[in-house]
Amino acid sequence: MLLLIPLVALLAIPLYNSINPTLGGVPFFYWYQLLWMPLGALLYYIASVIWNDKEKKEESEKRKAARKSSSRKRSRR
Amino acid sequence: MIDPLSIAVFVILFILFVALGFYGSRWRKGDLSKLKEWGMAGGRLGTTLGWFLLGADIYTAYTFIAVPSSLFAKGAIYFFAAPYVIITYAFAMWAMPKFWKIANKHGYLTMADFVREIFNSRLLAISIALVGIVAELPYIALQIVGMQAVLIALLSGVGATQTIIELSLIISFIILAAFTWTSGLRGATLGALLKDALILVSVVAVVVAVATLGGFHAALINASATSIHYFQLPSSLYNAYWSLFVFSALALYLYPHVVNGSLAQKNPATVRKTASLLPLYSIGLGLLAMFGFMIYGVPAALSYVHSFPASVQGTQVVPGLILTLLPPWLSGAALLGIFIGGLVPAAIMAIAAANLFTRNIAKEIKPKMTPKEETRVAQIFAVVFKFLALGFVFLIPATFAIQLQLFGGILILQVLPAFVFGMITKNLNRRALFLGLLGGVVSGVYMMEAANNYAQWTTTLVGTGIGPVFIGMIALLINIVIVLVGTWVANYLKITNQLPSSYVAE
Repeated sequence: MLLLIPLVALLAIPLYNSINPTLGGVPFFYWYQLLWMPLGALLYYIASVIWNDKEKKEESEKRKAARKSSSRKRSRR
Repeated sequence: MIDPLSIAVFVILFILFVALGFYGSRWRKGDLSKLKEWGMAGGRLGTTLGWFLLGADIYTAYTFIAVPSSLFAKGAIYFFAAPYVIITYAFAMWAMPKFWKIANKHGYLTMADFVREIFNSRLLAISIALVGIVAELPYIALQIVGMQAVLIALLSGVGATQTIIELSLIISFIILAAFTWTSGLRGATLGALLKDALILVSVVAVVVAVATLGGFHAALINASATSIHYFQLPSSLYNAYWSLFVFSALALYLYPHVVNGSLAQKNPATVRKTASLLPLYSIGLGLLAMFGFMIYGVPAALSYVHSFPASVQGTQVVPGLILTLLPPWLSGAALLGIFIGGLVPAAIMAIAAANLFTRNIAKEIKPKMTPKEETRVAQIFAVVFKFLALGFVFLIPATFAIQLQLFGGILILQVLPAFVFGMITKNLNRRALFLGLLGGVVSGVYMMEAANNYAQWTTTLVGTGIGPVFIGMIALLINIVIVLVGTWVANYLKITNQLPSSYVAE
């Protein structure tokens, strides 16, 4: 979800395709898209932390499950 | 015109850079005669270095020269590069960690390794490798154009323009070939650090200088007086704008050098974190792109640019602003930053193309190669590819150099079905994938030629019912349709990929 916010914001071209309001002489068209760079990095970074945590948990669970099944096999032997 | 001090600073820093390159070959020691060491820095990069390496992969002469140049020549439409270098990382955060894990588990070094096994097709793997290599060539050519632009600016005090342009092209090329041969990916990463520091300082300095001169307001007034749409898109170009940025974004992480750079990092979590932070790098790209209209606020820079023939004018926008606004020592440093900004990526791309050639084409022909032979083949072909890339330089007026990267994008997008869909499902027919690839490449090249009336390339847009759109999108859609229809037909006829029963999918 966090990953899609910048995409949607940038696909809405008619929304930002204007000169005014200017910022220090820079047209809205430019500074709006520039603004999405730090915003995008922030959202993506949060998303990457959440995502990496989730994968880490999944992997450790998988490993636990694998250890259990292998120990079961061993005990059967 | 140019201060001797700028040239002196340029030369001294260049020597420092070369020294770093040689040091790189000894840094974090590895056996450089092994392909993985020469070509992937051993695969041990953490977040910070990985960030810089990928930054060097991605922010290249494309950013420093091509985007500002085309924005200057054609207006706001070429600011598509800004949204492109934001959303591409969302795709990367999904695709690259996934591919890293698959590659690590099965010992793949390239995309073609993966495709070969999952679809059990040598033909498909070799074609993917070929498309990857050919797609890198125009991108390398773009870097040569960037290096050339810097040398033109440095040498513009001496002799006739035409001679300078040709001379600087030859010098750029020789330096590039020598650099790649000696240091491999490690040297390139260290060089990237120097480049980024130089560029960052000079971009900020130029923007501050323009702002304090009141240049933005002047630019707004002066540039509005021209016939080019600098500050707003005409509504007829909406579809061109989004198709350019969305499909460029999909294309970036398909390039062999970018995939290579991702695999060179130490683990999938790092790959994802690195990608998430790369939009910060894009701020530099955005500001540089704006140089394309900012120049209208600096009359001295504008007249400097106009002193060159139209075919190279655009490429002089950034050097022009740097030379007129910055003190000589800083402009020398900034120009060196841009020069290395072409040199390092070109080396990285040539290395990636050579890796791919060695593993997926040469090895198919001669399977038994010692590691030493492998590295030698890769080194030789890295040089050969640069010669081939040179050919692309002549296809395009330098001002429109961005079309080189976009053409590369059209080609590399065609590997998307096999690579990306391949990570999700193996139920696609290998022959359909091959035909789709072929259809996409052929239709892409054809549309490119037709859109430019079979003359020098100045556009990658093709007219459609919804206005002009990026050719890469149409070619990829053709490709995907062929893949889906072909797979459906194959299923209907019960033709399978004959995967060995031992193969276990992810």
